[in-house]
Amino acid sequence: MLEVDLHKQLRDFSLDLNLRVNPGEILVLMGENGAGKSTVLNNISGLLKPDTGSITLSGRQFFDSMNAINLPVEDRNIGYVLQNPAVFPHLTVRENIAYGLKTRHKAKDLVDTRVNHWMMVMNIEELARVKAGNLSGGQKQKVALARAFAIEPDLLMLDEPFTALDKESRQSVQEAVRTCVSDLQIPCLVVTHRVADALDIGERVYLLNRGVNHWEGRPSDMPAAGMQLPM
Amino acid sequence: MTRSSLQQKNLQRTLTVIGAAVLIISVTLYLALPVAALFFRTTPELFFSSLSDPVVQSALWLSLITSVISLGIVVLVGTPFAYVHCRNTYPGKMIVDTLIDLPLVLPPAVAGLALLVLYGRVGFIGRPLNMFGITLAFTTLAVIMAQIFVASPFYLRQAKSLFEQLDPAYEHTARTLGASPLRILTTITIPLTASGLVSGAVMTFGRALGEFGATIMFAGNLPGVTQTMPLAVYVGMEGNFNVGLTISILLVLISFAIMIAVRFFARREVPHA
Repeated sequence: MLEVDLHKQLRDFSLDLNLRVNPGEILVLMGENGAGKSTVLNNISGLLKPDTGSITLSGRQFFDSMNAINLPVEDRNIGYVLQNPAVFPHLTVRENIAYGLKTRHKAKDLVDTRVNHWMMVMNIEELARVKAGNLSGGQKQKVALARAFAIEPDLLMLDEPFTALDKESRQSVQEAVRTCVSDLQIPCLVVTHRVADALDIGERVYLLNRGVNHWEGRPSDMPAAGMQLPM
Repeated sequence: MTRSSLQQKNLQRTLTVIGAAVLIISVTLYLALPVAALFFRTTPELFFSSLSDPVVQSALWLSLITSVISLGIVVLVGTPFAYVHCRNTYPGKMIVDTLIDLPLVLPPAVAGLALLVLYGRVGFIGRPLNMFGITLAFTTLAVIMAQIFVASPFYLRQAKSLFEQLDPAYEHTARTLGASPLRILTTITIPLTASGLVSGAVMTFGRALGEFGATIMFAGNLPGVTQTMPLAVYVGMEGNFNVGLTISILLVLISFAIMIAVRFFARREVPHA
């Protein structure tokens, strides 16, 4: 289980967050632009350091201000797709997906198996040898997701992962996310501003407003009014 | 519109075009004519026969070898330095930033004198080194040190600016995939900024090759040891003019090749935020 209890002073407001995500559960983080959604993910990943609080994943302490614990990003084993999918443009699709496995010095057979598997799931096998810099926005998002899945992370965090996908691709990619989360039994946090995505993929929604929890519940129970969320 | 006002407008337009043409031609000629004059002053026979002159050969090879070594050191040390400098905040960072740029505005002769005061036989570092039989001033090593001091800012500034421009999402993603800072630098940051880094390296090589003031102050002008091409041009003015002319033409040709290389590599963009 992911347990987050953090406080961070931002420029315009302070982020005060308390959330739990169960293994195999997809929590959708929603809110208006600038509500602090991406900042939450950056704090959990370790790219940003909270002022105070604690972050624990299945008993592993990522961060604990009381005991001065702050696990480096590279040791957290998080599959994190940032808002800019940041596929490495100078590497091929295959090399991109294999990147995290190679940094962990995994055996070549395992690297090949995982890379082939996720290329097949994402339906990007024919792009294996294409330089990622030449891909379309949707293809880049698929590669970034496959790269995050391939490391078999302990936690999956996706920041606006479906924006560049067409309707058909979106459904298959969302299915892949559900499968990965369910197979690995890991918690998953998805940031999106699209209510449709929350309804499609979310098991629980956490509405964020200026750094604090505004509402929490099932996607189908989401308040129609109160927060202006674009469809 | 009346006929006369139309004529006036046409005249104004013609004068503007003529003015612009005169401006472009005069500036271009001012910069190009002295360089062209070098080529008009010699003949292909004279140029090629002077090429085999021992002074030319010695200066050419010494310049090329020292500049390549200087460039190698600048790139090997400067790249990780610029990376660490850009990715961290530390006390005195602003001062370091200023010091990096200082050699660009410092007169090269002053740079040479500064190196001599520090590393010369009676210098702060030179004296103790001399006690161990190590002499730096007036050696080939001094040529390299002078070149590094004067030319390194070209590379460091370029590397710093490229690393700052690069969208942090690439390095952040690599970190979440378990990459160490060194692996990120070698597999992500350098490849994504490579063309700009090469362009900075080419400029650095060109500046090192043309270095004169600091070299003559700190390394002297010993044929075969410290007499680089620019120094040989200077000596040629007093002795064999053809030698000076031939080396000058060589330097012009190399400079031209450098500028073409820089333009070629500078066309590629860094993936920025």
